[in-house]
Amino acid sequence: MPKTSPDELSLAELQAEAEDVRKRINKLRTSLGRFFVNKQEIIDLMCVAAVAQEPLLLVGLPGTAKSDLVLKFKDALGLGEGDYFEYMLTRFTEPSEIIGAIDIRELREGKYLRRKEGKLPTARLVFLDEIFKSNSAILNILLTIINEKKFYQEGKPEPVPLRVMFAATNEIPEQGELAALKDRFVLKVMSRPVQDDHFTELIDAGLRGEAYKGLNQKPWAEGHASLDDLLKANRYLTFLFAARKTDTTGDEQNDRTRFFPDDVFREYQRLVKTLIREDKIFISDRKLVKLYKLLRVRAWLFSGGTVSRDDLRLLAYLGESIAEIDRLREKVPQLLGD
Amino acid sequence: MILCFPDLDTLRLAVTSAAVPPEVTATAADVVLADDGRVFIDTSAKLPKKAAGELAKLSVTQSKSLPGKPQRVSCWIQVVPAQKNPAPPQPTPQQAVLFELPSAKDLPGMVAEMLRLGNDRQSFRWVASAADAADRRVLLRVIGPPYYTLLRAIDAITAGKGEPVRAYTEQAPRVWVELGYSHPFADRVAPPADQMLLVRHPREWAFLPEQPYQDVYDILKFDLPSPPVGWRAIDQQSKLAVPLSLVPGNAADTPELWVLRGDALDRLDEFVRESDDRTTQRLRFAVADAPNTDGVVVLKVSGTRGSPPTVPLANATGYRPHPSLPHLFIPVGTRLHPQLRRDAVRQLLADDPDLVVWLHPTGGGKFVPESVPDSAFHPLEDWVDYVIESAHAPLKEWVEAVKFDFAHFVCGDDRQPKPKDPGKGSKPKGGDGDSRPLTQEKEAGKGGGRKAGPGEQPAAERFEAAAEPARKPNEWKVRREELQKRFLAVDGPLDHPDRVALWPQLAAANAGAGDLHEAALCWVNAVWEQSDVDAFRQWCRTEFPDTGGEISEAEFGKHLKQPDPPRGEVRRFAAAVCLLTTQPNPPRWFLAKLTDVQKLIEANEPKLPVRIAWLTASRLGAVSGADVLGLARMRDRLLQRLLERGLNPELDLPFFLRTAGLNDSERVRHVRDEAHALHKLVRAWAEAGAKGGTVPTQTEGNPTGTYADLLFAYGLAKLGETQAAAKLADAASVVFNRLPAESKPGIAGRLLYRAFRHRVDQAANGQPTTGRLPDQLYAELGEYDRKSQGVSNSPFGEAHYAVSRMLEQSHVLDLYERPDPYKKFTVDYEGELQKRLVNVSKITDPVRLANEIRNEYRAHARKADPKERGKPSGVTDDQFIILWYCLPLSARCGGEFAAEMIRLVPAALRQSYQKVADVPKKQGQLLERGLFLAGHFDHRDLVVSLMDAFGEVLAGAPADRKFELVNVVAGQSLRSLRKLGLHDQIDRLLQKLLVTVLGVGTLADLKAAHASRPDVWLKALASALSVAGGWLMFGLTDKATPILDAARAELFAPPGSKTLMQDNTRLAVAYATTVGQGDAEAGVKRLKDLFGKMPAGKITNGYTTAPYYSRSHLNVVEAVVLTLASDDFALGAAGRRWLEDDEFLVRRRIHRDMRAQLTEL
Repeated sequence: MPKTSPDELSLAELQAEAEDVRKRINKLRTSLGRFFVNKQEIIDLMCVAAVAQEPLLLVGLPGTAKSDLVLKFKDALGLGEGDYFEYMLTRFTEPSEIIGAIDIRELREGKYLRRKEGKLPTARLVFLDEIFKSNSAILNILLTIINEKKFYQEGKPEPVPLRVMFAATNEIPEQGELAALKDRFVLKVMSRPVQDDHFTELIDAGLRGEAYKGLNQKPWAEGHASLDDLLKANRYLTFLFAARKTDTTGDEQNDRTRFFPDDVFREYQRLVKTLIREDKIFISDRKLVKLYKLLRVRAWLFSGGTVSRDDLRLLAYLGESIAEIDRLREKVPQLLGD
Repeated sequence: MILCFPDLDTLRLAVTSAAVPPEVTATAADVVLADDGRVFIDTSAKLPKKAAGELAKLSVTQSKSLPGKPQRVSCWIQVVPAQKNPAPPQPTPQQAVLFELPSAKDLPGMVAEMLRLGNDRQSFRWVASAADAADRRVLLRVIGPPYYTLLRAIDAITAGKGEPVRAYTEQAPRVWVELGYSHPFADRVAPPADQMLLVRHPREWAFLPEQPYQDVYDILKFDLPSPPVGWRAIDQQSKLAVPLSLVPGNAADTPELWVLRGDALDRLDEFVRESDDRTTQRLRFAVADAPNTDGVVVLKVSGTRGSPPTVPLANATGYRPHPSLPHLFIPVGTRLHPQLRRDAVRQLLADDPDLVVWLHPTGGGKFVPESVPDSAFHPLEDWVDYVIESAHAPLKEWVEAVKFDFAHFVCGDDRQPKPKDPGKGSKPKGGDGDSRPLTQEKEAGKGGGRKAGPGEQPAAERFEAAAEPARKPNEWKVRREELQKRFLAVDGPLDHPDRVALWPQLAAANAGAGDLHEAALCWVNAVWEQSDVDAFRQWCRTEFPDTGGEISEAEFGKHLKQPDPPRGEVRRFAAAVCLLTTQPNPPRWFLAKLTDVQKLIEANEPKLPVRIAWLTASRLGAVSGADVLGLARMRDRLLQRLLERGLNPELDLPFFLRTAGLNDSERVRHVRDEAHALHKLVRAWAEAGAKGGTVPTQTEGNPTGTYADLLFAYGLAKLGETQAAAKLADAASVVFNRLPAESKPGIAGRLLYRAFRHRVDQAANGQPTTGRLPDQLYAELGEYDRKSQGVSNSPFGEAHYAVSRMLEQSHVLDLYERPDPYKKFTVDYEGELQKRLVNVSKITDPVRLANEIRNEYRAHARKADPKERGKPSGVTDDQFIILWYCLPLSARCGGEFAAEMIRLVPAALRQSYQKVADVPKKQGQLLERGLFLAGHFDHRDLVVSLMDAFGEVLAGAPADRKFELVNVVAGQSLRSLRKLGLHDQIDRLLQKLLVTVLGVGTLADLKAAHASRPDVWLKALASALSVAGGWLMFGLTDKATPILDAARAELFAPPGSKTLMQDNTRLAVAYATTVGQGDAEAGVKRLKDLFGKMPAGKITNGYTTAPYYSRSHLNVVEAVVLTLASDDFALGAAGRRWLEDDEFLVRRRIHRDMRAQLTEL
């Protein structure tokens, strides 16, 4: 019986398929960019975040294609409705809208169960719009789901299949109560208006998009890669992160020593220290580890494995506020000498 | 000789304690560091005997051999290792860091990285190893290197061949220690004159020859992406032709000029027939023709007051003025394209300002500029006659109210505007009996300036609002205006019976016009002197129109339950209370709620005008069975309110009274505009004058101009320009923050900034700007004093002095607890007493405060002398100080205690004092405050005794002290007496001042008399200015002008050698204060004149505070600001007089009611 779930594949099986998977994901990455104007940077990050299974926050004014990026990404993966959940949060959003209403029939039986079908607990790819507008009840549920990939039914934890999470916001709030949720998003990318520099392309692409919508066509759903490909990539890289090897001199080598050259690693260290000291960027220990994982994913996806100086530009997406995002966008390339 | 030190600490001690002479430690030696911590030093230097003894005491022994392979050190200090710094290295942006690059190959990368990160302050030199010629290193010297690059050394990142990049900072001259480390004896190391030392951790020393560094640009080569191109200029021969056209613009443009063509005159005729006279009054028109065209009629709005009227003219083209050329008109809904600069448009289309030009649109964006001389325009109303139709039947009253009192409009038959016939007269004016509305006629017959006879009911009581049921709001407004004019036209005080009779009518008119606050003010004025249930009922009808003035229990209860009612609701509630308490039998439900009612009124007293608050409280007191205590409580609160703030023009005075005279908004706008203009002038003057002074080097860069800004920020905030004030204060904050934090001007400036900012914020928020500054500031000031104790030339001590001096002198900052700036420098006789008095001033409980003051005063009485039994013991120096300090505080304890204190003042004035500084000034202040409080608490007898004492003091004082006394007493005292209604005392005071200053002669005589003492003459002139201020206050400008002119002449004269800067400053301050008593426009003109023409050296920065600010300049600036921000300027003379008279009436009633209540007890 063929194995269908990527979670059941062994390293050897994944290794055999890894290069193909990488190519497929890259194909999706570059193809999807054709349907947007100057959003390739965000699509790249979405792919990296999706493979690393780290949530990604899209920040930007209304009308800067944040939702459209996620929708087309979902279509491009060929995801069915059951695997995808999206919701726009407001201060008045109730938990039942996100995790399902209480099942009245079960309640009569004395069970406090939610009807989770079609809601966040059953989705594999989730998009939450205006995430910081939600109330504290929703925030607590989200934190548990993002952190522990768990959802509580009648006080008992149930695993959720969530793998890829995107969120969008118009503004990044400063309130302390949102700091925990904010910290879960290692990468935050700004979706900027493009009309100043790409006026003509924007009009042309916009009209094309309107036509596709009117004719109910989705040419971006080209089937280059699937969600399973993303999951396979993640599992493959997870195997590599855990691998220990002994080299010819007898020294044990781990993922860092194998895929992170010393000079690039030191550059990474210098960058992090400089950003913390000069720009007061808050980088928690957890974030630092996750960042390593993201760098590796990017390196694998873009160049097949070894982390290069170019991959370090991921540090430009560590900003916690719009001002920081803007500053790092200039500072990181400057430090890297691009 | 081999010495064995037990450990490194012993070696360190031996070096620092000089147990081993420096000449020995400076020699080279072989060293072995044993594993057990011992240090062996093999030196060839000879150790003196004494040193050997000292070393023995430190358990240093001699050894015969070294326990291992020795390391050669250049001196003993090298044995002590460089120590790691606990904090991560943080070089400052100006600090030089020396990078030691192990290989020349590393140089381009490092240099390029730092250039990329914006640092080009790099220089370098090559260093070759003496042992290995191939070992060529680079020393790269960088000022403020980027942290990113610095991290290469901090993290000991290997570059190139594996040896790390090191960085050094200079710890002592020519001693560079590795970054992140410091050497405890770096300052003891003296490298040879031509060498520098690099100290690496732990004890690796490298001496290098001191050589110049080469600029990094010398080895940089920048490649341009392509060779440069030079462009050659070519003269443009022909001009570019740009067609000017009209294109669609703002469709909402409002026309201000109309051009009628064709049957223009017929349409004008039609328009005038349909228009009311207010529209025609605002229009001017011209009739014109041009060759080959029909004639045109041009209508133009005259003046710029208000928005242009709506002119419903069919087939007329409307034009709006060009935004920057008022005599050029553009069709509405269009604009000129392309947009040109103002001067280009003017040159092209409207070069002659005497021509009115309009752009007649001819279609397709084209236009023809047409013009007519401005002189061709005539007022439209002069060319229109209105005639009365004699046979017209009288209209009913209410119909008349909405119709004009004229019917027919006649234009000349020739259809041309006819010239005005001066003999015939034009439009009848309001005074003409034929055209006056019937209601006016009736009312003129009713009241119209007629006094009510003694037995007669005043007109107010006959006035029934119900009798005038059908006026429309605009008609009420017309009527209100007419009543207001009549009110103002009455010759006499504010409580003249004719005026009192007009209050109810004004109240009804205001109520009809929908202005309930004004109506309420008028009603309480109407019943102020005599309560009248009908008047209260009518007031209630105004406030409760839905119920016809009836107050139901439910309605009343609803009001009573409001937790924080708005101002209007409190007023309505007060009206209801007044009505219910005035009824012969107040309802039972009301009587049951009296306590709650009283609580609500007391809690919301600040929201009520003083009159309404007192009336309500006194009515409540009467109903509740003579609740004298409650009434006294309200009296004290209201008197405190009057004491601190006086009447509030916006809350307490009807609009028409506070705007009597000039138009209010125009005056305020004028004063505000002028305040901005004056600010620039005064600031420039103060800033320029504050430089130089006695010690020019000290005064360079002192922020006097910024302090002037803060004073103006206060003034602007008082004038309601809160944004401009905040902007000025914010800018000042930047200046003070830039001053070094530990410098004297920085310490003083920051504290003073916060003090000024507090006042600015208070003014901006409409709070009283008097009273203590925040405690925190006084605490910090005390802290400065504490820090400076025992420290000579402490910046805190000097800053304390500068701040205290400002607090002592500034009227804006502190009027109460003036800290003694000299306390630190003098053996202060008043010191302990002052301290106790400051504590006394902090007591809030009135009874305790009074007792404390009494005790202090008694405790400092002179010891009774048996020989002098029976004679008055006199006032001691201490008692004088206590009285001077505590008299202002006595107001807090109520009228009785204040009177007790005031009774001590005459004796205190008559005496002289040996140890007290500034006696005339303090005596003047004592008298001024005494006069005010005596009036405030209605003790006229005390006013008289104070005036008598003042006369005696003046008679006995020498000339210069006399003048100083006058300067302090005049001004505010006159104002206080007027507020208190003490008109006879004002006359006495003015007369006394005049005789004191001028004697029986003229100003010229006075000047001649003091020809040899110009300083005394200036003091006299300053006193004369005080008198002039009094005259100006009462509108006697003619009498005041010669004195003002004389002062002006003195101020504009070149600085003389016999007059001191202080005298000139005093005169300038008096001048600025005096001009503020009169007309605002003239005052501002004089102030501008003063700062434009006063010679530069007249006022200099000569006080001891010169390095911080120029006190003399700021004194003048403050006088100007207080003048601008005073009620005198903002309200105008007439408004201010109404306010003062009103305050007198308010006080009189309060005291009268209280006396009556007490008599009943």
